[in-house]
Amino acid sequence: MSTDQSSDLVPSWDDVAHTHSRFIYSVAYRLCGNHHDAQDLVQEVLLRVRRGLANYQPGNFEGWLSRITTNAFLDRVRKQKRRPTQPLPDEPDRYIEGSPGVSAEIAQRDLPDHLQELLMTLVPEYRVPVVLKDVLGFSYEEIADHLDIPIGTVRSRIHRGRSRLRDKLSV
Amino acid sequence: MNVDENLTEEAWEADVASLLGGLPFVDPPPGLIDDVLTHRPLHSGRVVLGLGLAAVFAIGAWLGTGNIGGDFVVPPVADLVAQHDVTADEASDVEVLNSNLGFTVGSGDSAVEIEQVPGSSDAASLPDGFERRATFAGSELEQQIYASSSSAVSIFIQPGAVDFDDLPAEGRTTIEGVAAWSDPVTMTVVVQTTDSAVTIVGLSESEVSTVVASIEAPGTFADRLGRRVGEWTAQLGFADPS
Repeated sequence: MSTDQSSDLVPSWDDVAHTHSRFIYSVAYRLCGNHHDAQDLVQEVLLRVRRGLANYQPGNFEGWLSRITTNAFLDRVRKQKRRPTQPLPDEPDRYIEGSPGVSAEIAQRDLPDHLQELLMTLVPEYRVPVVLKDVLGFSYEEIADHLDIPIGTVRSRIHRGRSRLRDKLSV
Repeated sequence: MNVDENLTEEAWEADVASLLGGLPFVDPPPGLIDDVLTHRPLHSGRVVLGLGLAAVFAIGAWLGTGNIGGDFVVPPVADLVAQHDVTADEASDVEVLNSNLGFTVGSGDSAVEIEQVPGSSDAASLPDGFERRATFAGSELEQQIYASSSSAVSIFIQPGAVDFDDLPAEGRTTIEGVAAWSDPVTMTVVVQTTDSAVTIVGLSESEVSTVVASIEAPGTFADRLGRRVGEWTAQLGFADPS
């Protein structure tokens, strides 16, 4: 996945919903890990976009969208901490064990699902910066600005997130 | 120089990043976007407004019991957080405000008027482009909702002095040497101005401190907080608690 890094035009809400829905949904899905929560998050994000478009300053539009999406996601995480609910993974049985019986071709085909499942094993504090950096390609500075945390914190969280993923990938 | 240029990654990190970078875009389910464009999302519709009004009633009833109004008050933090949760999203949706507000709930001491705030903005009063979206005003409690494009903050103001001893001990803290109470999970901070208890939901303790520190005025933290709260409330015609 790569992002459109700049745009000087401010699109209408309809344009955003239609033109950028795939980007927003992808970010939401990578953060939530299941389609049900991703759909709810996209709805909330589009409402926030509608409210925010009037104040949007032309620039990195997808950066702005990803910031709204990650903030909305983190708001939901905070609410869920107050009212814990059981997550419902879409297809929990698709986890790929590293057994020799699994062909390389099948493993390659199902790699995105496997990686997504591994992403979901990270706590949100690590998952969000890892997704922003490695999946979406934002810089450390942009992520620090997105999340309003020091760049050193961003770097350490990404390092720790990657480390945990590496450990799970090598099992 | 871009900070990224100074960062070195180990080989295994690059491998993990490369794998994640290969994750494809995901198409939204057919009809999802059209549903959002043409229908009110399920989670922020009338059900939420109903819950919000229920919370208003609950707080109104709580106020009616006489728990506050004397010298000391104990902000009902859990109820205030719930009130923030159910009203912040709804109140920041201008269309919902237009279609649902402008009426009075309850009567007597439990009366809580819900009024739509005109489009004026005091974004400078809060960080990150927050604008005032709505106020819920009762006889003993005021809630003001501020929202940015990505977040919302509620400020609850009650006359009286906070009885910090009756709030959970684990949340007791100080901000600039002044007694306060905070809960990082719910992002709630209780502070005291000259004559009001102020409960802020949606900002961390450090963010509250930063906002108040930005006020270039003499006096203690409580004085400056009161000034800031006064700025917030004066625009709505309420008494300036500072």
